[in-house]
Amino acid sequence: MMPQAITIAQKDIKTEFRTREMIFSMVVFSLLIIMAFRFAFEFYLEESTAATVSEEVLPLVSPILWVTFCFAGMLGLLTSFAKEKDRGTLDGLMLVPMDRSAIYFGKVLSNFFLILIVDIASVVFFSLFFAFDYTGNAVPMFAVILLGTFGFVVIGTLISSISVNARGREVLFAILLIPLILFTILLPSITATSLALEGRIMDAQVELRLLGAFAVIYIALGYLMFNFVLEE
Amino acid sequence: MKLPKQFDFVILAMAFIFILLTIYMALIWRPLDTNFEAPYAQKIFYFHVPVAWVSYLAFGVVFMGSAQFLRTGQRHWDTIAFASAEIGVLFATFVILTGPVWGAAEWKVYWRWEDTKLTITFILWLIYIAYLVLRGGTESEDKARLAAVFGIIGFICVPLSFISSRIWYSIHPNVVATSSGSLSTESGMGLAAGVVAFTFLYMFMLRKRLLIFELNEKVQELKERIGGI
Amino acid sequence: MSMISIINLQKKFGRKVIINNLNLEVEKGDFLVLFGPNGAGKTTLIKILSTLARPTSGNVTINGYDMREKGVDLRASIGMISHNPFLYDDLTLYENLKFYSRMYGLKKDEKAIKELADQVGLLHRLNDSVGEFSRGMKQRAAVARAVIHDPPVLLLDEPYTGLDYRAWGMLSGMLSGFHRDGKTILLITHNVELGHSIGARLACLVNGQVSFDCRKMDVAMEDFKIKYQQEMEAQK
Repeated sequence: MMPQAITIAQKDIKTEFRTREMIFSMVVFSLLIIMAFRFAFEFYLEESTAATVSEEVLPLVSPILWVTFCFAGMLGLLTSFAKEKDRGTLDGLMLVPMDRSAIYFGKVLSNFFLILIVDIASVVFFSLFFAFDYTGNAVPMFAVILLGTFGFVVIGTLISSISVNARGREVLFAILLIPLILFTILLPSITATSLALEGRIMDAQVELRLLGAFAVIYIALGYLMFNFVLEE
Repeated sequence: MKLPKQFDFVILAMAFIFILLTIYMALIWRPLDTNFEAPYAQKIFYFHVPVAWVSYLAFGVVFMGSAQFLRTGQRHWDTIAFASAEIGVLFATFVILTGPVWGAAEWKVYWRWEDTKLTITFILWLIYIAYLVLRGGTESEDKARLAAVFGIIGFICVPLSFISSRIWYSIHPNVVATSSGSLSTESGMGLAAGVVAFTFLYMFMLRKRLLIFELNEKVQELKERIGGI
Repeated sequence: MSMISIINLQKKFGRKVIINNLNLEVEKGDFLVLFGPNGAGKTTLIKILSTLARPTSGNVTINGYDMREKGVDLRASIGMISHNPFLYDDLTLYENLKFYSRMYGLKKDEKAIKELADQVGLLHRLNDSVGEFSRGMKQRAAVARAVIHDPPVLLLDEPYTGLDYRAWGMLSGMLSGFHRDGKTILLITHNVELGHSIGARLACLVNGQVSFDCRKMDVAMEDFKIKYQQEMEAQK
């Protein structure tokens, strides 16, 4: 099953880099979200009495980044399955003599890779728009982003496969996904990222363990439930 | 589920009796509890808590119905899950509306995110509204299957969210003691009466809702036989 | 033993019964053409046979593999061609075939893939994006994809849809070739002339059941057309 999953992931990434449509939209979307946040917080930043720029922006970094990751990420997650379903290639994959969960795992891998790229872009955009310097804390921050994004992609891929089959898929996807990840992925990720940025990543052990545990649980769920989503 | 009509009547009667009992116990029998800031508002407790518990029960039924539907493919499990979700959301809405009423009187605050119970109920409410949106109201087999998958995922995510928020909130010391401290036996009895009452009410509503589904099916069948759409 | 064995197959969508207690056996090496008007359940049947859909009840066995228990082995024994080519528009023909070759666990090298493309007459377009292919070329590429793992059974769902006259000829030629090679073929179409000319056994699918089963040799085209019309009238 894993070889086929990897083959699917490679195919997806190859296709994406050839057309670049999905990743382009996601990156532009993340740029717009960060821009919107920048203007939204204009007043707050003006009125702030903090000593340095870094200090006044610090509380904003983690929440804004994760909201951006989520919404830009959701765009990509949905498109991944939507393309396969609309062009009929999903049936082609289902015809292959293999455990169909390989499709799920393949999609998780390719989605993770692509969304990670968008995450990195968002981090860069944020630094530009908010004049924020990550120095010293960039590595722990990325570690958290990796872990949190993985959990997000794992459950997001499963839910996107569900919403792609129903009407109003974009809105439905958001309605289905957000309540699930609010406390399981978003909250721990935001907390852990904030702590990482303060240089206190060690205090985030609980959150990191939570994220790890939930990622495992979500993968198990995905593996068990994916076949039910596919069959007609 | 072919149970005699009398059964429904019995359930309704029990629900009615116990609700009256609960009202009596809450409003008349129990003295004003002076431990609380707003003793009158505290009476909501006897309705708010049972309805919350029964809504959790309803969602548990959604989970079981979904699992059974996926396992056996029999449509009636999906119907049970759907009906239970509707009632569960209804009850949860009641909980979310009465909570702030009590909260405003007791804590002077409408909502406290630090209170894990509030957040869990809220998440549950959102998840099962999402379930209802997904399920739609259509007869489609596919929709039913997808909704069942989501019903299972949603239910599993709730204890996960609970664990997460528990841990998160215990680290960040904003927590104030939540609603139930130690319960006196009389309070316990009042509560028990409430739970029994609303469980019966749930059962009654569930059976009626399933009956409506059945009737709908029959109407559709007849329509097709006549040749309409 | 039959290559394809369908027993008491039933498929319901809600209350609507699409396939109604279908029983059908196809012998090894036979070429069965199933006719039926739209809505007769043809596509549903092929979807169930190829394990893309689950029946409400009944069973299907292909090449000795039970649909429910040996689904994976069953899929390894079939090649499916429908009006959808199951190909990735953004990849070249070579990349598509390489992808499926790896998915099917085959280790086809460049030479083998070139041979496959040549078999369907697309060697000269091997490095072109499938999205640029004409409908006829896409269908030929779909054939290549379907037989990449050399399955003993081919299932075809209205493969002639949208093809021009020349493409018809090429497709029919390929199918006859597969038939000669000993593959078992089940083809579904509503085109009476085409089906009659290419099949060895003909049957109609009406009201979710098989009716009028005959060998091509026994019935002339015109007679069959008339019979088919009659069967169509019978459909509710």
